[in-house]
Amino acid sequence: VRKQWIFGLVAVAVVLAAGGVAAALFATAGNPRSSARTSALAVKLSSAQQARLERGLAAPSITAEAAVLAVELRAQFLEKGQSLLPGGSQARIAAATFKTSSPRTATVDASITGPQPRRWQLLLIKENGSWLLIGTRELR
Amino acid sequence: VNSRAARALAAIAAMLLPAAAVCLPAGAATQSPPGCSSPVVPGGLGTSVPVLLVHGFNERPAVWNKGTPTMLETIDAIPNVKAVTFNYSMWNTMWVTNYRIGACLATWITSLATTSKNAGGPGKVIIVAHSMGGLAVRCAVDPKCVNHDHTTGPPWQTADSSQIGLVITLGTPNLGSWLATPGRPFLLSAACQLIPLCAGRAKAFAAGSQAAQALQEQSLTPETPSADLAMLKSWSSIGVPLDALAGRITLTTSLFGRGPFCIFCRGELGDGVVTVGSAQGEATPAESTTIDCGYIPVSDLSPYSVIYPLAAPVTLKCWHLTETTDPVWQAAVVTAIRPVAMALSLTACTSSALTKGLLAANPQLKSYNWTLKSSACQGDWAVAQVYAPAVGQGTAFLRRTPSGWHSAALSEVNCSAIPGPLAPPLPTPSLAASLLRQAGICGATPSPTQTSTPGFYFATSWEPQKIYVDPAYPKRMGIDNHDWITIQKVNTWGSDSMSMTGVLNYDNCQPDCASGQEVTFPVQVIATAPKTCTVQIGTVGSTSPDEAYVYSMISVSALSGKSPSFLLGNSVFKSCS
Repeated sequence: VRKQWIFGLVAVAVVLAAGGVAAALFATAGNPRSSARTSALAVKLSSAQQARLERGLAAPSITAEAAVLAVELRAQFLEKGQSLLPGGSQARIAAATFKTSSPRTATVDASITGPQPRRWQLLLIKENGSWLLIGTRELR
Repeated sequence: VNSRAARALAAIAAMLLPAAAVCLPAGAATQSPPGCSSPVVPGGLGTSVPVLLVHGFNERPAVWNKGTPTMLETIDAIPNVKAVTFNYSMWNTMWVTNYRIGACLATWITSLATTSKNAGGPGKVIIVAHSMGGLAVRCAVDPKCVNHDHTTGPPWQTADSSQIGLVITLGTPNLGSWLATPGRPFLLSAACQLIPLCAGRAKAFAAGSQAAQALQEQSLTPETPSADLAMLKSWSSIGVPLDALAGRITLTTSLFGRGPFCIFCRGELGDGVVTVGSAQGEATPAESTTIDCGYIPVSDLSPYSVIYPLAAPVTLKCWHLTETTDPVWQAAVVTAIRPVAMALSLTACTSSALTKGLLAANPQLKSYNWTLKSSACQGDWAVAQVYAPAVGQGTAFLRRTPSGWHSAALSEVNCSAIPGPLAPPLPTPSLAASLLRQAGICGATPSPTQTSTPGFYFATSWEPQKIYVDPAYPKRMGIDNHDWITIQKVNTWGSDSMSMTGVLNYDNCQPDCASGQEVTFPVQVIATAPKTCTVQIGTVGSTSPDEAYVYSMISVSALSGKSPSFLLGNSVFKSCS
């Protein structure tokens, strides 16, 4: 009887362990981005990068603004010749809202003050080690 | 053994007879690779322009049968056109140098063009090729590529670019595919995630097949093809009219309410698999068409989207795998085919094409109430007789040129001195006599050339020669004194082709042919390219040539098993030439 008990306990333990492993594997395979997201969440926007973005967004010249844009956008932006924000605007990035969804992409919220005060979510892409702007989404 | 020896002697004797030599292979002729099927056009090709559809990597001919309407239906709806699909689905992840792709495609192009010409059609093929299908065409016209896997025996047949009237490529990766290339830009991969089925195609490339490796680009900026791709003949050196269709998907974004700004505006994302630059290769602007497939907002890319997967997926107008079913692409294909098919129709042996040629040379006909009374064509020549009540009959020979039939003034024919007083261009006297006879202008009744079902005639040095007319068929087709085919049934017997199935009995000649074992393989015998030609009928080595309307090409293909390659292909049996 004792032997049967021991066998029973071992069997239950094996089943539980296998189930746990399977569940873990399933969770990872089902969402390939989950591991990247988990590890990426630990990445922070450095204060130097934050300051660089804030300065660039409200820079007085189009060329300086273009420096914080993704490379794929710069030529078109310069061609259009319109600055990102109206003169006198200030950009303040809420570094605590910085979220990475892959090693090369992130979003962060920013408040624009000045003639057209609004809140935006900045869509960032990492190119040559710098976080650059590739799009914006208005926050309401 | 005695009977074998007798058969061998008889074969040798027959080969020594000069008349039999007429029917033997002519030295260094090319041949088809084993196992290539033959194009069968339902209902016959007639004088229609053949359009050959070639599918792409990891695809099958069914891609032409999807959508409403399907590409096949759309093309078949063009006047004077008949579409046929080429199938290499069993080898669709192999590179185009595999003989089942490039070499077999070459035999299809040749066979369709020849069948078309013999049936009075233009003798040229229009090709519509999706994706890697376009690269298969580049291989099929190059003897080096066609014979890549073939080192012994006569070379395999290469498609003659003069038999191709137009090639339309849909998203053909002439420089390779960015999706097949590791280390591609991050944004391209992110965009692929948003296109339904794009991830599946990426996986198919990642599986590392022979074709997937050949389609990897050496570099994406500037786009540089792989060594395998670079070896293919360039479109400019092929020299066929080309229409390269490319799809363009762009990414868009906005910055603080300004925009839209475009990313990959130069076609770097292309149709989601092939960049615009690669799809257009070295095509000139006049040969290139770019189709707008829509855009993907950057904010919808999975790394940036608020909800992923998106509640409402990005709706693109097209991408690589919808190019055969999308109405805009179908319309572009029709736009490209229509004028070429119309021009090619003018070179067919049809009353409207001949009428056009006659009218160009005899504009005065317009003022008479005239009719085309009779006509006949053979090769690049035709004869036509017209009748107008006010002036009577007139006859002219016409010569086929790339722009249509060219004729001189009409005149009266003198049947006792052919070609008599008819004005140039003139065919040889024997051809002139034959044409005048076929048209019923001189002597006999019109030949049934393009109306009746062709007979089946084959010649070897072994069998008595005979023409079989439906439903009679040869029960046994002797190849030599060891090998023969037992015909079991006739599957189809049409105006363009006939097909039979049977069993190939092959002597393995082990340890020697006299005591070798008979090995059998199921085979298909397909006869194509009907034409009126000279045949030897009667006993072996008959010296009484006759004219008959028969299939001029006979091809043997294995249905299963590995039968010896010298007993397959289109040089095993000779018909007439």
